[in-house]
Amino acid sequence: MLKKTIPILLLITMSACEVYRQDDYAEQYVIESFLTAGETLPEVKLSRTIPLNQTYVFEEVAISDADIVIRLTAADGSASDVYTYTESSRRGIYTPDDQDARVISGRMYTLEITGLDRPGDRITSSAIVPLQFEIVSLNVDETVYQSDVQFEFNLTRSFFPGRQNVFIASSIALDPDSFPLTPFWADRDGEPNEYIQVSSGLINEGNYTVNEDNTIDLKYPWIGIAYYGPNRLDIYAVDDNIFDYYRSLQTQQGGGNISPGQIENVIWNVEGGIGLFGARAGVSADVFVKQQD
Amino acid sequence: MRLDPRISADYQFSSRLKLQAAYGRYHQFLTLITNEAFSGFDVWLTTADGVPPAWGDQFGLGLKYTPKRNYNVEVEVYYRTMRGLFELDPRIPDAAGLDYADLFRFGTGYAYGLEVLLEKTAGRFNGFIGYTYGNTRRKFENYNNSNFYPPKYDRTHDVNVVLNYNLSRKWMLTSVFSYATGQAYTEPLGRTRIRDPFGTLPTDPLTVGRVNASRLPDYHRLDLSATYYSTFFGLGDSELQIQIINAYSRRNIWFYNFELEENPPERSEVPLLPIIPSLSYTIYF
Repeated sequence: MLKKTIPILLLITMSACEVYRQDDYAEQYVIESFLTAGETLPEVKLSRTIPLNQTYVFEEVAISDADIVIRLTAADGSASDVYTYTESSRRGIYTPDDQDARVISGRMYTLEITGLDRPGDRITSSAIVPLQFEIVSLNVDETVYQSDVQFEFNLTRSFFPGRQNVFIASSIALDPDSFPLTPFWADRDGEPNEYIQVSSGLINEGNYTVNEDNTIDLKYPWIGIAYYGPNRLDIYAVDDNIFDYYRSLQTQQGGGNISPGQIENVIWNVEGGIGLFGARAGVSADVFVKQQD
Repeated sequence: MRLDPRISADYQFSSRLKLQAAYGRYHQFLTLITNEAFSGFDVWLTTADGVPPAWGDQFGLGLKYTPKRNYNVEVEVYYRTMRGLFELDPRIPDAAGLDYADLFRFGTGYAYGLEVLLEKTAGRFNGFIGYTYGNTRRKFENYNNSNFYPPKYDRTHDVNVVLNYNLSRKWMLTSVFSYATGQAYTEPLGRTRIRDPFGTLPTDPLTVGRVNASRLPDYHRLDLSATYYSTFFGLGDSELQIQIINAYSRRNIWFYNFELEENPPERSEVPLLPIIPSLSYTIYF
């Protein structure tokens, strides 16, 4: 009995063996373009991926001679305006033929690329520009780094369909040659000029206050300032493409609660390729960051 | 409140051979969030509104055979379903302001396998050989293209051999050998570079293959020990144990680390510990 039963059990189990093999590397198209509410249409960079063990040089992977358009979608879903692009003098970088057209907040834009290496290939990605907002007030225009008085913006509310507002705070040092790095950034291994513009990461609703008058109070995080002295502080409301890209990139590169060695994929909201066609709306203020005694 | 029906039945072919079959439904109200780098970060998360318990059905069929006294042979096949799996969504950048249920991703899974145990339970020389062939698969919405994938702990083959030899009434020698299929991991395949519109430095995202479709090298290890049984000045029993952990100093791989700031990125192996001698003395009161 045993001699018959054990082989049967083994057969049942082994016959259910599953093949789950790793993919081979496959080259993909890569897009890069960022719409900013109120600004002119952005350039579009087009390239291809490389295998992990190769050195990245954009000029070597740039793709020329593609046909690129960005469509502004009307309320009924049709294209109300079509903006054509032409490759610039730099290979793989395309600029809009209409240099005056401005990005309209609250509207959806669709990027479409054809004329690629393989006939029939087509890349598309859509982005909704968050609603433009304004600074109502900024509590101070200079303060001591990490003092009790933090730069605090009072802002009108932006809007993005289907979810809470998500912001990224970013600072640009206006005189990095004359002022030193703040302690957090000074402790890092990189060159000082790598930190002229730094950001806070994603800021969601738990980190700002919504007031009764529907304005919001947002404290600018200290970690988002790399240099003492004069700085331009930017607050951007971001679209889903930027939100998904940054949150998944952070996880891929070791953030979040994942074990070492776990590598997650990035969320690409792109059809026919990968990359980022993002949209944002922002405000800026110039401030001065004083050193602690 | 959840209903968890369970049933099992035995059929005795002879005094030496028994067939067992079992079915059970199980609910799980906790899920463990762990980070191997920092064991202090282990967190048990509970069910709540919007986060119902995970549950599954388990089927098992086994044979137990006793060819002679102190010898056992066991063979079992199993199949289990997993429904309502919940785990923290690693892509949530910041939990502040989110509802509890929004922190999770929900999925399903299944597992099946075969377990074989050969055992000698008594005598001067005793021990067991255990072998498991197993497959576990899970899937979550919008992750791995919503396809099933093996979790990190999935081991296709797992062998454990434990041998004890009683050298005398005072001394016992033990060897433990373990072998397991390498841990599953997701392999980065390609890369690109995308400007960061909020920072000076560009971002260097990777393109990765199917989730956990690659394997680290197989894991194996031999531990040897000698135990001396005595008493501690008549106060209680004592054990002096001399142990050699990882006797042939196999550098099993814990994980691969990718230095993404390099161009091209560099892969390095982070190994587990080499051979470690150990001496312990235990007193039982």
